[in-house]
Amino acid sequence: MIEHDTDVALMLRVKDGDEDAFRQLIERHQRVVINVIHRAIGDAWEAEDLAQRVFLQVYRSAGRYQPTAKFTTWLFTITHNTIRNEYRRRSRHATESIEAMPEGVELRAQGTDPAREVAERELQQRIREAVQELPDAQRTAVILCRFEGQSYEEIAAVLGCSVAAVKSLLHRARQTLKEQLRGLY
Amino acid sequence: MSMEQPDFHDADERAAWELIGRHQAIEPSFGFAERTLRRLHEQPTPARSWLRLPVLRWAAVMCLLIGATVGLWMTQRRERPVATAEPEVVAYAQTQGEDYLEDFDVIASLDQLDAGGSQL
Repeated sequence: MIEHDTDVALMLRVKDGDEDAFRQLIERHQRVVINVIHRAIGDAWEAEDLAQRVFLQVYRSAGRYQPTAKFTTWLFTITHNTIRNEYRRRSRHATESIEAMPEGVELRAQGTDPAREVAERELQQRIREAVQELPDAQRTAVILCRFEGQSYEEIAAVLGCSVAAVKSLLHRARQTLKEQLRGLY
Repeated sequence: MSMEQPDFHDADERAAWELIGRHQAIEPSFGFAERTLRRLHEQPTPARSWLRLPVLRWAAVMCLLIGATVGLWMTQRRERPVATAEPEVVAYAQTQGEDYLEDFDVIASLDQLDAGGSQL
């Protein structure tokens, strides 16, 4: 709750054009925004570029910010819309398909065993692809729930639907993931 | 971090859910915040125009279309030849307001005189 209050206080300063407050907000939330985008898009460099766009959007929309909801709900909503727009943009430019994007992430050392490292890399690739292939809302619900530990209520606020709808989205996503990843678990 | 616990329907679903949790997180590259601020300064803030509101944008487009249509119609109307009616009607219309029409009654009286003469 303290963090939430501080976010709101920072955002109110950003509203007044305080760039130092904006920098603090970026530093506090950059990791989560980059990771949400990376899990959805799959490319680390692209994820950073889109994350920058998310923060620029936060700055430009600061005037319309109302401290009635949690700041992260607002932040995740902008992030979700940015990801959705990116998927739309790529679907219009078929040559830049999501699958064709190179993966720039270097895996952390898994030990010295090269075979294990290759297997781990393949596993990461399969998980990423399975998540990316989910429909927009299911993908965001899975990422926010599984990786960011957000509550159903917050996910519902981000997606603009009911808690029951979020549970349904997650159920369908789990069914799809179960089929997609069969043989790996 | 409060993690919601989904209602798993079977062991496979739970296993798949746990498996995707193995997807590794990445760290932001060094200087991410600075680069974002630099980008903020490089990109001019879009003007807060009222035209950015979709409804007003549509209204503006509709006004322009209506204006263009009315303008086109007015131009065509102005260019259209005045005499579209029969020449006699036009000639009659042109005679309206002329002084000699005041003598029309006189002419009518002459007709009556003429008619009277034929009776004689």
